[in-house]
Amino acid sequence: MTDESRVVYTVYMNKHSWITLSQSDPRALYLQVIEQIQRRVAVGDLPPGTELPSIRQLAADLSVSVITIKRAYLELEREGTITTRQGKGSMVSDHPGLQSSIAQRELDEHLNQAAQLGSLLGLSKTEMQRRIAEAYEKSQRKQK
Amino acid sequence: MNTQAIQILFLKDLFLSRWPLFGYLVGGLLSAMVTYLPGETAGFIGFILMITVTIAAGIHLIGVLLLAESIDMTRVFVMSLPVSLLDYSIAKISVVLVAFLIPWLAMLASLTVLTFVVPEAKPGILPFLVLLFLFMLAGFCLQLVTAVVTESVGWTIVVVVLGNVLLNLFLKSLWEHPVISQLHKSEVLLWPPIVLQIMAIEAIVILVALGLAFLFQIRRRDLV
Amino acid sequence: MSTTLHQPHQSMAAASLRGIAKSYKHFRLNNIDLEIEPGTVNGLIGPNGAGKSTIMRIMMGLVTPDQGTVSVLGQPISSRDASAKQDIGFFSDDMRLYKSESIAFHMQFVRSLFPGWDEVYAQQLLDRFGLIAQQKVKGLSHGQRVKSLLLLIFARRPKLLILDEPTNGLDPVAKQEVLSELMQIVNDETRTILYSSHNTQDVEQVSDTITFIDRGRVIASNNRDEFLDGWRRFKLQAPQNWQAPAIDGMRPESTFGNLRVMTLDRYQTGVEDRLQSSGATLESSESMTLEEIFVAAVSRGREEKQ
Repeated sequence: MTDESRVVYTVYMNKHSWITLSQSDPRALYLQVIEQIQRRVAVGDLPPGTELPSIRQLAADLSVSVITIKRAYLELEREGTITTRQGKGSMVSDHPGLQSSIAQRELDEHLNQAAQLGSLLGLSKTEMQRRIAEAYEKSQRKQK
Repeated sequence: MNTQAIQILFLKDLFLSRWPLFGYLVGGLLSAMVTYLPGETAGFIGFILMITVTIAAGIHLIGVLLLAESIDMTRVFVMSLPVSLLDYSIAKISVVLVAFLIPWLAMLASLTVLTFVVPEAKPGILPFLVLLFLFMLAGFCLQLVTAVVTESVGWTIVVVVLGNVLLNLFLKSLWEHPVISQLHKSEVLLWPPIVLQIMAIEAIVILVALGLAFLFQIRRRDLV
Repeated sequence: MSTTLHQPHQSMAAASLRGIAKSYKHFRLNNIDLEIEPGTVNGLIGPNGAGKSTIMRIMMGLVTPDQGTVSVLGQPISSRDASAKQDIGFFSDDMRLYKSESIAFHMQFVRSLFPGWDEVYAQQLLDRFGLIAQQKVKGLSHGQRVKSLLLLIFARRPKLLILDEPTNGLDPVAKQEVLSELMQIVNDETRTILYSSHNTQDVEQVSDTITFIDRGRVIASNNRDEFLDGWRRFKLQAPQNWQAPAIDGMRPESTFGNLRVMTLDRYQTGVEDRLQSSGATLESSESMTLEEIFVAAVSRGREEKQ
């Protein structure tokens, strides 16, 4: 098997398998698309260099309008999650550490929320740290 | 004008009406034969049968091929295909006419043959039969133009009923006409001027009715 | 394929209606201007009787307008000229097939008129739609009839699809089958879809542009996301004598005691501040679903007419 990090796979996009949109989700459809692609990249399901389906292909497969996918891809490109080559379509960015940078962003968001909740509950900083350490240890145990 | 499209539409309609067509063809031929069976009753029954078959064929074909298309919205389906209104009109009017002419001609032809084949039959009856059949064809064409213009079953039936009444009056007056009523006794085929005049009138009615139907159809602005 | 925002290379509109008017005994279609870009999915939304069907029939040459011009795929449409229809697929809820004949008969009939008919794809569609070719039309359920009509359209791969309420009365399974097949067309940037419904949900997800029709007039026409981004509903607490600030496109929707509900059709950042500084307390600023936007746009349109 060749060097996996440099091989560009074409992920075979089966409708409904790796990305699901919910009409009942009040967030705009393009935001759902962005979030799901980011998630797949963050957990490693879409490694760097993976070719993404063309805008029209993805729109057709998900039964959503082309403008939804265009908007999602545009935003993902702006963020650096994907890159577009003229005439070659889009692919997951090659940037090393991209995986972790998305996850890092998510971690920061969650930590911010936790901090806000903690101060709302009136927890002290030490108490807060204790709680976080507890949660971390629990997840470490689960992984074993 | 797309002759290929016209052909396809024409054949499609013939195919759609294949069962009634077959039925009326067979019915018509049988009626013609019954007319020439020995005995006056047979002749009378056969005569009535032929008229019945012809009238029924006319109504049925107009119903299936003309009225159904506008009532059932199959016309919308056909016109969503690459056929122009002209193609559609030509195909439609001609197929309804041809479909009717099949049993009609079959009956007239077999009557003609039988007239010369059956020993008791006198050829003089032929002009009388021709007048009758042309009258029924004219009646059919009037029903056709009514169906095309009104797209209404109601009005078409009115014309059918009127046509029937007129047919009876026509037959009565033919039977009372000094010249025509004697024709059936003639051993020789005669075409007296009065017969030719009536034929001419019938032909004019047929052509005018068909022409009007066609013109009306191609100038339709709303097909739905 | 690039991810830029350009439309496909054809600058020619897939369909264009200018100044279309049509009068019936109890209904009038007035001054309809509509432009359909190639390679797009266009939703036409309107209440029953608004005129969607009439507009689509005019585009197909089934109805002749009293005024205005229609051009489809670059050709003026008329009932005389059939060639444009070679590349168009039209579906209408009231279209019927020949009851006494089978689906196969219709496939053969349509195939004889379309050299571009794809028989392989047609067979696949029979399978995907769960249809039996030998079955007679009179034995078909409503959903099967609709799918048969759509099969006859899809299999000839038209450049422009004009579909008048195709998902009306379909059960959720059939609807999904139809929509996912329809959306495959989006893969081809030279093909265009115009799709009408009185139900916004059917249209909302798949459309690039949306046009609202009501009582024979175009109420609004825009890129779908601009509708969704542009409309907002504000809930305010304001005293009785409160004067709403003059904001373009803002209209009151309802009042309940001190609660005022207002809608805006061209949202920009800063509107909330203006509302706050006018002496009202802003309770919420929410986006609206396409259905809510539709209802609001229609009621505005009707008010304006009076």
